[in-house]
Amino acid sequence: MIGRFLNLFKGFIYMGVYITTTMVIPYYTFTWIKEVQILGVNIVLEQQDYERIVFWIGAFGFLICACAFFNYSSPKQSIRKGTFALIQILLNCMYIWSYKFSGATEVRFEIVFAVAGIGFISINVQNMVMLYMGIYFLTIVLKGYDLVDFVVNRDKIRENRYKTVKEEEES
Amino acid sequence: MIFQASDIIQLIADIVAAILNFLKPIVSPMGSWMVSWIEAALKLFPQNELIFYIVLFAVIVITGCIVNIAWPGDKKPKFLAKKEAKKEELVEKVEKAEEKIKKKSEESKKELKKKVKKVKEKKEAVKEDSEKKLEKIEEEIEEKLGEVEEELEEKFDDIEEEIEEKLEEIEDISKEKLKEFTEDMEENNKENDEKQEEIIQDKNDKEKEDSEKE
Repeated sequence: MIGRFLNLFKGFIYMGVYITTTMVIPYYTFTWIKEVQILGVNIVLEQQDYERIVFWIGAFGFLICACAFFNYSSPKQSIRKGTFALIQILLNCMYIWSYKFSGATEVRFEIVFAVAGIGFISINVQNMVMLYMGIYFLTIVLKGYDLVDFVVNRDKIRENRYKTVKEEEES
Repeated sequence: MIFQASDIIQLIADIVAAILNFLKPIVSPMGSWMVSWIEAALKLFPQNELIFYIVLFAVIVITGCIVNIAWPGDKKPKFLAKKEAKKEELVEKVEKAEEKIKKKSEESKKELKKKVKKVKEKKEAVKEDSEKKLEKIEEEIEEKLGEVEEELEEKFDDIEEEIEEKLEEIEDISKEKLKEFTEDMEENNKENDEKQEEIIQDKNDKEKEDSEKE
């Protein structure tokens, strides 16, 4: 009985962490970035789809948090944990793609000068995106391997888990 | 400008850039493939319908709660229970077999002891018999030896008697033969004397004749 509520508690804790890191902080960051001033110069996020970014933050944030809850409340090395960890990583990829790079490989900032008028800063993050996604690909491969491992060695894992639970109960 | 102001940040940026440049040829193709499938997948997700995601979130969380309460993973797996049942069966069988073996071993020990006792008794009986037989044999041998001695003595006496008889016979025979021999010798001597006398006479006669003739 203790084990299942401990798992749920762990799930809720991680869900809280993910809500903070994938929804709250990014939302406030983007809101702050929306109209930020550096050295007296207004740098406004020009993307028309700012709202879209915020929407995707919310959408994928919810999905990631739900998956994180399922993932962390599941027993160690279980198939459902592996499955939801993999889904979480895939959602993470989409999430990062949707908000960090706003669905494009180029982020444009509009600089508003008080006197002179308007200028632009354009950051080409294509290479960075590719690298980042490449690293994520490796993470997906790892998670996939984990899932396969959990499926293949299911009986052994369950046996070991049961033994450790028993030992903990006895101790 | 801000980031370039600090040397450390610049250094870190340079290192990160070097690592990224080094990894670029390996990781970039993966990244491009990732971007392609993510773009394809994003089209499937409904846009501007946050409620859908909230509902999905609620569904996943509730499902997670139910699933993880129902199957927390600390229950005994069925296959393990079966295994343990089989183990117990095996253990029981082994115990029964051990008991049987113990009983059998005890019985066999008892039987062995009995057999050993019997063998010892037989041994002793055989010993006694053999001793008795030995004594009998010794007695028989002694008797036979006595008989043989007596027979031998008798035979010896007989032989002695025979020898004496034969000696007597030989003596008689030799006496007779000596007598005969002496008689023969005497006769021969007589004859020889006669012959000598004759020869001497003849010689004398011849000499006489010769002398006469001359």
